[in-house]
Amino acid sequence: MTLATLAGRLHRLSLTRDGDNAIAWPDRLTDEDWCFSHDLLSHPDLAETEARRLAFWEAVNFFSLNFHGERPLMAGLAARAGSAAYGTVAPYLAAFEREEAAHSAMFATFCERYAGRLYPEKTIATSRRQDPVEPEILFFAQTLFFEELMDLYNRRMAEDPLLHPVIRRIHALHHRDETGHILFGRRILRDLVTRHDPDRGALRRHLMGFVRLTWMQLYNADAYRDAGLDEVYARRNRAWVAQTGFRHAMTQTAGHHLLALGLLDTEVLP
Amino acid sequence: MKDAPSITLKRWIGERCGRAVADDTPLLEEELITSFDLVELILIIEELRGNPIDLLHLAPGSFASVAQILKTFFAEHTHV
Repeated sequence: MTLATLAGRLHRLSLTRDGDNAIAWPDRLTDEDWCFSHDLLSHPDLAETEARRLAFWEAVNFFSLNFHGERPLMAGLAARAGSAAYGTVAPYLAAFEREEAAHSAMFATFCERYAGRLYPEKTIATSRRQDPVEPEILFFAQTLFFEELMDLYNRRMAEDPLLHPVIRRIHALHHRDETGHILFGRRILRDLVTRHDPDRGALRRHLMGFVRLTWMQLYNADAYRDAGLDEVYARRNRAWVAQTGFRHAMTQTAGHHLLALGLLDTEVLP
Repeated sequence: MKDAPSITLKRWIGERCGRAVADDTPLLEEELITSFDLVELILIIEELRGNPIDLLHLAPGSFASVAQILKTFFAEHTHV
């Protein structure tokens, strides 16, 4: 199947789902509600009450991270949907962008309704030039890694019977759409790498920075503080070390397609 | 006893860019740290301060050099 054929099928599938995004938002969540799977917490080594409290704030952090991650993604998709270089897949890129906009609205609604805010993005705009190495490959490679990693969480939490139904529903909706994005991302990335035969070393260096950055944002000391934990920075550092094996396993699973293309480096996993 | 923020910051940045940096070395202008490094640097500054940084209300150039970082986020350590 060509990329254009795949994109056409995914576009038609997207259109059939347009009306099925309803979420029954509860008025409130209680301290008894699990909002993040215990074994997926960045700091799972806690008593149940503390873990459940942290689970709420890690859900807010996870949705905030996705919200912030989708802004540059949507901008990149919109630019490419209007570019002649992507003419044959432009309708799907536009649908992809619409789905991401719907996800952003869903994540923001959860955070604002139950936490009163999103966590801010831990970054600032700089005037530094963009890395000039293969911007098209970088865009789709970063997008693919981010979506594959987030989808590992989506798939687990959509099926976790201990989680509140609204959490399962958010992850199920996200997973439903991400499946198409990931299939498309794997295919277009393979085509781009085959066509351009890029300097993989330079790409690996850049992408490993992105992988590390993504993981670091899942260990948010602000979430620990909001959950009432003490020594939040020391805890974060201990959790980062203790969870090294978990991160490596998740990175290798989420990054298996990038690894196969020579775009990730297993020697320097975060 | 913990190192002063200036020592910790210069050591971390030096390890990242592979060269020694002084208080006034232009970090962004000379592209010694990447946009990814900047996020990690923010987390390190927060840890050294013991408090989060309000990124929405920062003056331009707050991360321009180690001296500027100390002035912006560690006023009491400027002369350490």
